[in-house]
Amino acid sequence: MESQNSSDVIIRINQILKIYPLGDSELKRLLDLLFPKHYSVANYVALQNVSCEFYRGEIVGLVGLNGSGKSTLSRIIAGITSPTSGDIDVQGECSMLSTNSGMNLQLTGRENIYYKCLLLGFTNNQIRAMENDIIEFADIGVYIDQPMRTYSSGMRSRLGFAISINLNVDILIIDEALAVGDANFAIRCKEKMMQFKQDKKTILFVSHSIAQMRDFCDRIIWLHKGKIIGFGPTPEMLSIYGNFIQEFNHLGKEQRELLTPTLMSYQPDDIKI
Amino acid sequence: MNEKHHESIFRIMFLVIQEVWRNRKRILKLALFEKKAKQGGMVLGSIWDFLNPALQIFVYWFVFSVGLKMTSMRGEVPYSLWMMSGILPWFWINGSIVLATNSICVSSSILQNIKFSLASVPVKAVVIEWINHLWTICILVPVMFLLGVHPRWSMLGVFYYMFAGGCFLVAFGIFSSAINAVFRDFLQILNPILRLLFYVSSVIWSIDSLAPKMQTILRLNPITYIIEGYRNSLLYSVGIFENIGSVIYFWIFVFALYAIACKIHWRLRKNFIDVI
Repeated sequence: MESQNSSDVIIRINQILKIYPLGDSELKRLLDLLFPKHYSVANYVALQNVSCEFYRGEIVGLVGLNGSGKSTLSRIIAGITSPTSGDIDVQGECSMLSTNSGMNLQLTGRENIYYKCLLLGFTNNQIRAMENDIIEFADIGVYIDQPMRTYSSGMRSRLGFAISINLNVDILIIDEALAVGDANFAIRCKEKMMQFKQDKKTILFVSHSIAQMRDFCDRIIWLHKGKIIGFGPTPEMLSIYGNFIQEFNHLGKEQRELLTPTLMSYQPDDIKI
Repeated sequence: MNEKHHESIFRIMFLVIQEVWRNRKRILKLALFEKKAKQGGMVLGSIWDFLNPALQIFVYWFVFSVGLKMTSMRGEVPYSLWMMSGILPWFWINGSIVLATNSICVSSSILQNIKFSLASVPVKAVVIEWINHLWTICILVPVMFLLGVHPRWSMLGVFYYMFAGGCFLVAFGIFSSAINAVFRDFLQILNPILRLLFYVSSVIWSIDSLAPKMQTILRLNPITYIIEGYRNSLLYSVGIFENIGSVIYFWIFVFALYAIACKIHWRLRKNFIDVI
């Protein structure tokens, strides 16, 4: 990644802060919304001081514990929600894909391809051009014209993922593990992601599976309690994060709350970032 | 970010209508898919599009013309036709208001994961109900001919009132879906109001018999304008512009409602995702 220059930057995030107000009643929540800052409600800081850059043609993995701000960051990048303060500059079309959202169980698989892609902002002609690739990739045979409620959960996820990976966008956010389908499907997913990469497209990959991250990602961001702890090459970052997880699992509840990890504290002796 | 707060109301009104217009084909297709999904698993499927309003019209005709043999409120028209030409558009208006008000809340899981045009969400709800209503009117009109109403050109005025009703419903939907997204109690408040409006919008009894002052007050309600318009054009061959005052009043009302709706929608828009 050293060869990257600034013209290759596709997403630039600068000092993002995201706060969710926590009202103790619905009324307070409403008043806070209508008259911000007049009603004292507790704030939940989902992200703070987040600054980073993503390049064209790289796959970035986003790791962190539950509640570390991974989903909030993906939503902000996808433009679904806006940061409380800070700037974000995204050069190109960006889609966030949760494999199961925007699918209607009463519709057939083929209809769902259209339904979901229409929601995502594609036109009928664009969808028609992608339709065959998606169906071929999902590989669910005659079931494509059956209602989705008759699908097994594996088939549902496979179709959802097939839609995601075949979209013609510049940035793809995959907010779910590729824990779908068999080994053969996993291999095809990897091939597809590599092709995505070759086409100079960027993937942001949010997952709890360290094994998958190791397989796909060029760089890893580690988020903890809304802050970026580290952003670096995959092998080093994952071994640091692995060490952290190992320690974290041995801690009691109170110790976990107090934990403020740094890169240095989990760095193995033979790795320098 | 801050620029958005300082945009003029006319600019916001333009931006909202532009957003909906750009998504018009998408809205229609999604509405058709959602209608289809509602009929998923049914043997007759989309035949119900036709069957539902047909059965409804048959029941009203049977009860009020064959059973009760009620006489009309005005003129030589059977009561069943008089009532249907009011209650069928009312069902459309009522259904659209409820569906549109809830629209942003019920799509929360989609809106939280997919970046979709927020202004288009209530419009999609209005379109779904409009498609059902269009079927209903397509069945009602031939039934009226069968029951002795003479075909007249002035009946085409029903399309104007359908358009006017649609504009009102879109404006109201943008307004109420935004309010309901941040204030869930809104639909509960709206329900009794709708029930009240059912009785004072000339749906099942004519407000012509009331004192003139009372009539004027009740005609401030834009829904009365739509309902009476349907009836006037379908049954009494009254032209669209015969009462120019109410036309002007209605469109000013819709324009003002749309302005308020856009203002509220724009103000709350960036909060929707975080609160629904």
